[in-house]
Amino acid sequence: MSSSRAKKWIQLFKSLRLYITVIAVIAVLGVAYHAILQDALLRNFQELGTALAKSYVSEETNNLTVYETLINFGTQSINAQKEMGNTEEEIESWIGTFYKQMQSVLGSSTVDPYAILDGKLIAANPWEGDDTFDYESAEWYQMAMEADGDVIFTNVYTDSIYNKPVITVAQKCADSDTVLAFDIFSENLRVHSSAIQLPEKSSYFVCDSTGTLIYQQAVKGRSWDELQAYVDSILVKIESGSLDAYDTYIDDLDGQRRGVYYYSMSNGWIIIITIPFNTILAQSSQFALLLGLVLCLCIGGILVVAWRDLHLYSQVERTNETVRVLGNSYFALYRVDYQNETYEMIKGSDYVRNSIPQKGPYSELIHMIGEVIPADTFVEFQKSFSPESMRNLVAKRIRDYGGDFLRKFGDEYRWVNVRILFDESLAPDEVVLCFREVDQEKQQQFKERELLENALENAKRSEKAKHAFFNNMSHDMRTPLNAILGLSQLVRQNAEDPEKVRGYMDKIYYSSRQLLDLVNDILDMSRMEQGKVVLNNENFDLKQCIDDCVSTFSIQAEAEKKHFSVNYSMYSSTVMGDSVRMSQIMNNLLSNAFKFTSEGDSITVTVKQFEDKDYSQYQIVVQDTGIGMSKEFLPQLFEPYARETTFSSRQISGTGLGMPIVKNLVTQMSGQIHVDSELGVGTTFTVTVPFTVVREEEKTIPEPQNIPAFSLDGKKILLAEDNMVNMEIATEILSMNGVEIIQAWNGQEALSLFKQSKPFEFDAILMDMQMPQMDGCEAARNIRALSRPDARSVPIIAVTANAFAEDIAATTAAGMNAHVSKPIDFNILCQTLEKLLENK
Amino acid sequence: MDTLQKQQLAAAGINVDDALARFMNNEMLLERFLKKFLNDTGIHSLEKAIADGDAQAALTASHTLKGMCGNLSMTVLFDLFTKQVTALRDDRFADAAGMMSEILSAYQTVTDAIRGCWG
Repeated sequence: MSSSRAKKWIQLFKSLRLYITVIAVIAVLGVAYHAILQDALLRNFQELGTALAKSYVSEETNNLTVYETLINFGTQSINAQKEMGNTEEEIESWIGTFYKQMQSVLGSSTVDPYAILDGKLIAANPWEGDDTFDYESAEWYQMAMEADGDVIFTNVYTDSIYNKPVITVAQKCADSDTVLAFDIFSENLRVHSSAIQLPEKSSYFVCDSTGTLIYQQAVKGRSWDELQAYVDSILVKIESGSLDAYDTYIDDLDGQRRGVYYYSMSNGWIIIITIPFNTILAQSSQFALLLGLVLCLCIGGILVVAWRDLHLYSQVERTNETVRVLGNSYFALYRVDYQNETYEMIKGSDYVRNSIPQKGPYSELIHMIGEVIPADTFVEFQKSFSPESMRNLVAKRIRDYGGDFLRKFGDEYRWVNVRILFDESLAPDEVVLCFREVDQEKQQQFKERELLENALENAKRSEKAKHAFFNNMSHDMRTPLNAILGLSQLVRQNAEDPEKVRGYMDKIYYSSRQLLDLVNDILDMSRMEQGKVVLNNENFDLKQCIDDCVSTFSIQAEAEKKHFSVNYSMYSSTVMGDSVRMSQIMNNLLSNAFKFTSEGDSITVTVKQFEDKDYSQYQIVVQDTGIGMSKEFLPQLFEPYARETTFSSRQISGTGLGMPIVKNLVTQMSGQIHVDSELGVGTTFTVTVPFTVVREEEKTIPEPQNIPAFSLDGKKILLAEDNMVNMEIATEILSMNGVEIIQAWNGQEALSLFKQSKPFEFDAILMDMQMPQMDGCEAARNIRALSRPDARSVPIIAVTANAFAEDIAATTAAGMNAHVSKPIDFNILCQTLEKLLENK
Repeated sequence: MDTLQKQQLAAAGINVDDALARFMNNEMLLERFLKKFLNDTGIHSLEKAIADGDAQAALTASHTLKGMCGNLSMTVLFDLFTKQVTALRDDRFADAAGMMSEILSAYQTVTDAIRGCWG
């Protein structure tokens, strides 16, 4: 996951490399150009500012020259008047006129002219205390006297009357001590020039030679003292030369950067112009803004492209993954260009990769495939997957074409599915040839087909069997019906002879009876096949039930001269079960026995209960010495609608449904039926059925712990048991009763111990059912098969913890005589042994 | 065998009277067999067969244990093994395996009781 993410980013970076480079170059160029531009602007402004300062200096000089000229004119006029000998009053009046003329020229409040004439102050605007004014101590007076006729300018000072900063211009008359002076308010030193406008937001300062601020322009809202301090700091820097370079600056009172440009006047005054960097660099700022905007747009563009690429890439990647997953189900994939007849191997089996190159002519691939598929398949393959065929398929837009064939993998052939897939819009002239192994599916298919065929075969056979059954049945039914019809005819013809009529009527009765039985059997079987037969369990006397069945056959036995005997060996005969069905079983078994026996044969019925317990196994054996059945027929005996054909020649009535009905009923009673038969020797049916014993009050009392009259003392018994504890228990109990025990730990050992013994040495064998090496049943079968006199007669008693009908049926089938369940009930064991030994 | 011992064994699921009847009221005999039972390895065979998923071996082992417990009138164990044998014969191996913890605990109870009486 993380590696795929890293890959994604690398991919993205690759696709954006060009854009990023271009933007970086633009940015670098832009920044460089910006720096150069700033530099040039600053240099320009250095020149421009200085030039401005110069021009302002000359303007200011002009300004002062005007005052100089005016004062010169005044003093020379006074001088001239003096020379002409004008009186003081005349001169004073002239001065007054001169003041008026000057004020009218310059404006009333521009200058305040006054004069010291022969120690007397003459002012245009007389002020209080004129008379006491000590002019000799005033700076301007001293300077003027010192200059002796030259025009002087004082530094700025605060005028005591107006309380405003002023400078004083003064000149002494050449021939007298008369001094003419003008007070000029600093605001009137303003430059009125329109020659060069100051750049926007610029400030303009004029200082005198001591650095005192005479005039300022453009700074508003600051006190004069603040401004003075500000200008002082600028002057300090100017003097130290730290503002000479073009790119130096100061921070103004608002903290803004400003370039400083200045020029000194001939009288020591200095003019300072400060211009904000904002104004100077306005142009470059605009450029920077523009550049920034362009860069932002570029970066935005790149981000959009990057996002789109990333999105597309992840989509493509997902599609790729899906295609790869799909591709996994194929072991080989080829792209075939059917126009140029070439192939490209996308995926190939190891064998193919080693045999042919990645790309090549299609014929080579076909040739390769020919090596791994059977020749006859290959002919068809070549035809179906030729370039012409592909062209044809594409032209007809058959999008899914292919089939299954056997391909050799190493030494074995397995089923493979091949398909041609194409999409002419994506790859014209190309198809994809894909191979997938489908061996398992194919085998499954074959298996299913086989199953289906078998089912069909079975159905056919069953149909046939039923058909045959109906044929037989029709025949079987026709026989008694024909008899009835014929006999009825005879009755009609011999109506006068009652003797004959009675005989015919008996036969009619018999035939009808036979027909009814037949129909009943068919109905029963059909009900059983539909699972509709339900046992009706109730208390009944098994012995009584069997007696009733037997009695009817006794008469038949007598009539047919057959030996017929019945033996019972039961502890309790009242059981819970379906007596009607039990009778049906007995009737079927007996009628079967009578059917297949001839005069002189014997039929024996033995009924025994294995143990005297609440839930007991009962066994009913019906044995005859009749014609028997062939081994081959035995398995079909219980199949409905089957009848051994060899019997058909004999005139045997019946449907062939008797045995299937018996088997069905016994199974439903949780019992087992077993048949032994040999042609010419006879047949034995053994039915083992469990019943719940119904105890009757009076029956439980008589034999509770009656000591068996029979004694086991001195008997020798072979005991086969694999469990040590069980072995010891049985040995101990039997030994206490005087029995001599020979122990065998498995069936094999029991068999060999019996073989080694003398004939009749053992009185009985107790056989555990489940033992290693050889189980009880097998050992019993082997013992019975030995050729020695006691092999068939020695009583073998099965001892097992299981008392299921099928277990007991198995012990009987193995030739064992009885069955005792674990835990061993000694009394039952004694009874059983007693019975068996007595019978011997 | 005193009454207390009988009570202990009965509490562990052994029908002492029934077992004694089988051994003709010979208490020494019963004691001997119960002690023998402690050494029987059938339960280990059963555990192994269940763990290996070997249904046939499990059936054999369970069947043998059923017979032995029946002989010793260990009614609780006998009933459990009877159920297990039935399950195994009906091809319900999972059910049979599921009974193991119950069986082992009952087995432990019985062996503990025997050891408690004569250990």
